[in-house]
Amino acid sequence: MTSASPENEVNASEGETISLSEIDQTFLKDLENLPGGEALKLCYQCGVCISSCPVARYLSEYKPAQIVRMAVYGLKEKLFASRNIWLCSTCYACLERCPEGVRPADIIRSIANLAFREGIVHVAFKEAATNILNTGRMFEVPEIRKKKREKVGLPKLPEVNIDEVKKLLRSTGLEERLSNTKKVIGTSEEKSE
Amino acid sequence: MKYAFFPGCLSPSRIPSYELATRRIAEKLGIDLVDLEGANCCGYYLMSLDHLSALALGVRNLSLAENLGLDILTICTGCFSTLKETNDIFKENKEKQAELNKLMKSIGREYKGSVEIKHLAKVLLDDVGLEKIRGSIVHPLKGLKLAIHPGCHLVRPSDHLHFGDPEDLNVLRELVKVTGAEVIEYPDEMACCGFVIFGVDKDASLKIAGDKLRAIKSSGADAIITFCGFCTLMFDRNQPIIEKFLSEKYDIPVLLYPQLLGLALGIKPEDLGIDENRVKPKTVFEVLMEEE
Repeated sequence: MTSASPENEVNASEGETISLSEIDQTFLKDLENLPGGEALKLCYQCGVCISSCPVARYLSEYKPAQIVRMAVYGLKEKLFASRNIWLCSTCYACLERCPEGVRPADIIRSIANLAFREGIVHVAFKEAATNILNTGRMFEVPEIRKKKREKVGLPKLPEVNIDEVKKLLRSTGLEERLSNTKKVIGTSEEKSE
Repeated sequence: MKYAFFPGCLSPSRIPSYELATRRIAEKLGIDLVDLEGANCCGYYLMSLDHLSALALGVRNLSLAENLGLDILTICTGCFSTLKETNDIFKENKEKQAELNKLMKSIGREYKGSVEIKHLAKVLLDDVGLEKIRGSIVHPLKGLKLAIHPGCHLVRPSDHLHFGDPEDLNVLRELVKVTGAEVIEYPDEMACCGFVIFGVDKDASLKIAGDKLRAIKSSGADAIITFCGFCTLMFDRNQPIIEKFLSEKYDIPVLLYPQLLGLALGIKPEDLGIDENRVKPKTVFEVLMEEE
């Protein structure tokens, strides 16, 4: 049995033994109460989700069916230590094509929810959530863009009611969780245009 | 036809041309867009961190539209799918509904569940109708060969979005054909652009986008037509980055659907923000000049 898995290397490879001490009994129950949890156990590993997945095409360590199986086995720590739970492109091809009605994209998102409850987050999601908490928008609208709107014939951009957004995200506990993150996965170098 | 307009945050932040072109075609086709004062993020990114927080942000937006007595028209596929999913959960899950309304009450709001969320493409197809659009075309774009990239969140998950067949973009073909252009088919039309994972694995994201650009280039299309700001960022604004990374050359322009329709409706390219495009749509302009 391997010890604590480094990032990106969580594949339970063929012949590997899973120790009973790794199995988290409550994890599966928590997951079953989140989106995708209903049909989680119906997965019989046909792999149509893997062949439909654009991310799996280029990242051999990323296999939706394997994430689902690891979740059913309760391998919480391995999943939480992995970058894979942050790699779903949310294209939803997997859940359209699953013959059993399993929703891998929803399940992966729900695993990420549970990781976040324990203070684990990918940097890209942490930054997006921080933007939402501070500005009410995922992408900040730069002042220069706001000024340019009139010039090109666009009306003034409506203001976000940031007080209400903050109040909501405080009530749901998001604000506190965000400030209490214990482990941040990834680096923030990768920025799109 | 009157809607609460929900442009999302990507368009005002990075692609103002999407909003601009939408407003211009809306004027031509009699679609009245009412700004949604005080609206916030749809909740998309928070779905991955805290489902309840995402739903709360979404329901707050829906309550604002409900106060105006209007359905929502959005141009962002991310907002479209997130708000649709939120609305479905709110209406179907009574426990969640109670939890969300308690949260709404804490900010002095309430949502009853009366709002419908429509993407611009859906409004054009169902509410304006192809006949009316056909009758408004002044510059048929004859001779233009176009590939369509729908964007995942316009069609999937189909049990929430109900936007045609999740494996076939037939309904969108009709919207493009009505401009007089020809639709070119290519392999894997429904596949993802890769944008969402850019911040997690940039290389994989660029390879996924490269697959689509390569397939479209080989199909002989003059341009790609998009319905999503994220896909547009990926295919147009990031095209030079993808070319450099994969040592390939595509030089294929990307037009957002309202930009394409706007040209066919006789709106000037500068009023549709086409000057913002990174890859200049030269062939498109040539076809327009031949018309004149």
